[in-house]
Amino acid sequence: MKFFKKYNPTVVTLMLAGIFWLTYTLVVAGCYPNLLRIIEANCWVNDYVLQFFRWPYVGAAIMGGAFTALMLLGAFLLKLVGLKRWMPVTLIIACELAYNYSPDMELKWGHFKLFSEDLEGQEECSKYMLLAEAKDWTGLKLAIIKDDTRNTPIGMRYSLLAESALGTLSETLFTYNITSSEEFLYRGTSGLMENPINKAFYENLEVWDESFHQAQEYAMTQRDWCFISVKNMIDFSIKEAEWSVAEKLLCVLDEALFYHDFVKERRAIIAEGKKVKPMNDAPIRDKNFVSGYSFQNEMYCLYTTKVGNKDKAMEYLLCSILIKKKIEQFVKVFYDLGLYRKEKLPQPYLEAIEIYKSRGTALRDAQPGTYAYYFYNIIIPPVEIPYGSSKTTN
Amino acid sequence: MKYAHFCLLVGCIMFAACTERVPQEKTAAKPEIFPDYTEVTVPRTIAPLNFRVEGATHIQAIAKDCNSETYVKASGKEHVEFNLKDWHALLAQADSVCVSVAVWDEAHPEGIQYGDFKFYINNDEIDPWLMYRLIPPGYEGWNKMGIYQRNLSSFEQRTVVSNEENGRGCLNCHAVCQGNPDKFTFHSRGENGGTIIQCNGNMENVNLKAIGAQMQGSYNFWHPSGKYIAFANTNTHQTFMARSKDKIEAYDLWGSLFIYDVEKHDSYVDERFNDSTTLESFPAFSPDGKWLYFVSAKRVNMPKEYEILRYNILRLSFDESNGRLGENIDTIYNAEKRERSAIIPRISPNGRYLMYSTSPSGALTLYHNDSDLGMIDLETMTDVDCTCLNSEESESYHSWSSNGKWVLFSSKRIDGRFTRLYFTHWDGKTWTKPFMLPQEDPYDNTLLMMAYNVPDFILKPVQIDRSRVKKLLKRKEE
Repeated sequence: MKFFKKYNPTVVTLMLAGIFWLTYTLVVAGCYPNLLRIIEANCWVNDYVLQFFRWPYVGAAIMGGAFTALMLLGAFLLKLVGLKRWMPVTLIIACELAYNYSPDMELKWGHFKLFSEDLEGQEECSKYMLLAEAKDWTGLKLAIIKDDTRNTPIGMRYSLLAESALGTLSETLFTYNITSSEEFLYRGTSGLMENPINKAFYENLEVWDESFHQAQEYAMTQRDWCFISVKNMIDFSIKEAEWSVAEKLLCVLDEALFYHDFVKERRAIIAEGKKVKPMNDAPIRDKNFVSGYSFQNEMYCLYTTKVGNKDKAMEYLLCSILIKKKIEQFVKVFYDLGLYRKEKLPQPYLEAIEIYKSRGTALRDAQPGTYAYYFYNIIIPPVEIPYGSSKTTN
Repeated sequence: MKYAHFCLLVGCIMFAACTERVPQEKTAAKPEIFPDYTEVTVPRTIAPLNFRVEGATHIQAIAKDCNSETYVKASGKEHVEFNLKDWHALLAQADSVCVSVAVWDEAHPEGIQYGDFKFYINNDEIDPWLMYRLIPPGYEGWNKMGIYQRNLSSFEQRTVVSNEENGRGCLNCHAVCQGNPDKFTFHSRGENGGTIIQCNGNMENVNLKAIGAQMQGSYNFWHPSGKYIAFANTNTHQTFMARSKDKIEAYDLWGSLFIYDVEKHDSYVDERFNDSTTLESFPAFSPDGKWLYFVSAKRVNMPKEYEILRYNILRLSFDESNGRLGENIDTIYNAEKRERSAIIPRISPNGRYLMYSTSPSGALTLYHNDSDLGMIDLETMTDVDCTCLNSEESESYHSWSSNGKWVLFSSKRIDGRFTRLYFTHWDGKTWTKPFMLPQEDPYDNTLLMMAYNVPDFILKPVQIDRSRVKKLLKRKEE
């Protein structure tokens, strides 16, 4: 007992708890939500520990206590076998444990700061991801301005997404250094940075199947299934009335310690949803492939097949034509299809129309060839085109 | 004294916990159990059919031989687990088993005794092991994946090879020779890729692209002699649909066939199946080794015309002496006539039946909700009804047991996305109701975030040195 009194466990616990709380504040809450993994992970300690970061104070205290106990036990055992200089050894063991079994605590964070600029970029990316996840579009725009990342590939994509969500994309489009409509998202690529923005992009467009796809890919490209992905996948399944998938994923999430409220809430939504829509009413197959065509044509397909949010798809279509500076095509889409329903036209649209007029072409001349004509006969060539796809795992 | 009181208290608690409860209600209705094992037919050696009742707080089950007094009891909170030894003792003598289930739940806090359900035991033997791949379902990416083997008499699952051995790359297209895992292949993709061929204890990493036909293998099938392996050489892509029940369309941009000679380490391509007008895939030898079955489709502009891509099942003779294919091509399944695509031909061990996966179009029907199993009687060239095997969700990847009495297949019938394994008995005339691969905790079927892929029966466990696999794949990298 003397031994334990000499090295007051409460003080050590509090010190370690402070470290863990700081970890939460600095890293986990801000930057690495993706580390909140669930079952099937490699390391059960991480699975167990990570869940406490939903309650940082409680989690920090538990973690601090656990590591103090480990350290003191180690020290006690070393003393028993007669090692005199046990304190440095146990400290090393404790630090090693803390380093390996804490979710990127500030020891690692410091390491990142010192040795890796890329990882700093990942931190920003995770911050934007969180803000997009919370649909805090104004906050997202402000964060990007504050970080001065408005013209970086990731910053611009998130910022343009926020503009679309806020309905200001067409007004502000040319305040960005966007040179291609492919820069609205990361089409055809997977990765820690790419999948969250792709997911948020299709979620904003209300294309739920592709949002689900991107959420799952996000889980796969990082360490494993994670809470954030599973929650997303549940919500997208509910949106598409894919009840059995949502129910399965809810069962999985219910196994975690701190998601019972989420599960309960979604189960109630499913019960209500089933009354209104007993099953998914989507067609069995579709010719509307995501990433199968150029961005512009994909938006056109989404618009014409009435998949997702039509207005947003049309705004992306018009913006992507304007990025290419195809004034005639723009006017054709604008007038021939009679698509744009806003009363007050955004400035870039007005300017495009003025330029068209200034070329001496009357607006009615735009009538004969519709965008649909262009789409089917010019944009889609009658030969095989390189559809964006990757090798299957089968 | 205090110690004695404590012991008494613990004893009382344990006694109370072990005491059987008596349900206060009774109904003739059958319980809703998961997985559904009611009225199924199982082999005598099957692992305990543990089941679950959703929302139960307590379950008591008695599985009893319908014709004798032998029984096995189990109880649990939401599911029941039968004792393995007692279970096998019961199944060793029973022809049918009556299961009595009592459930305590929110609706029946005092318990309800349901009407007994039955399942039947069939004397036809089933191969003792299964092999399958576990991968995240659908889409492109994965983190962990592996090829596993599972003992059908217990719940033992062993890793054959996982992607820890190839740096998290893809492992696919595993195959054994007629259920004999001494002859075993699989592909490892990615930087350290290659085709691992294990033959009678000798394992090698073969670079198929560097020899003979200079083609990279994918789907493969061993000749019964173990001397040849037929490979498909496919370039598989996938595309994603914006909104539909089918989420993915997987297709080949090219597909051809070649034969690999295991002894000579050489490969041979028949130029008839190496042109740009047709796509070939899924080769399969007949059990007597005299025929090679495969699927073939007229090439179309993919994925634009994916709805008209339909695979026929064809066959041609195979000469074991020189590994060459015969001249005449027989059409076994005419996709145009039937307006459906068929893939994965698998011939029953007696050579009489051909089982396949079918859907209105496509190269990988498992991605289609309306993928079903079908079967042709090769003697009469007529269809065999497989309706009772199919569901509204996808069925595919089927395999015959070595005696041709049991069929194993994968199905997404539970949730539409995660494939699970099912078994059915075939007596030459009828199928029995399919039953799901038993798990120790039946809830694992729900919680497992992996899909079963390419399941196959094996006669004994695969013996493979995983560290050697790792070395072989590393050496190639160097």
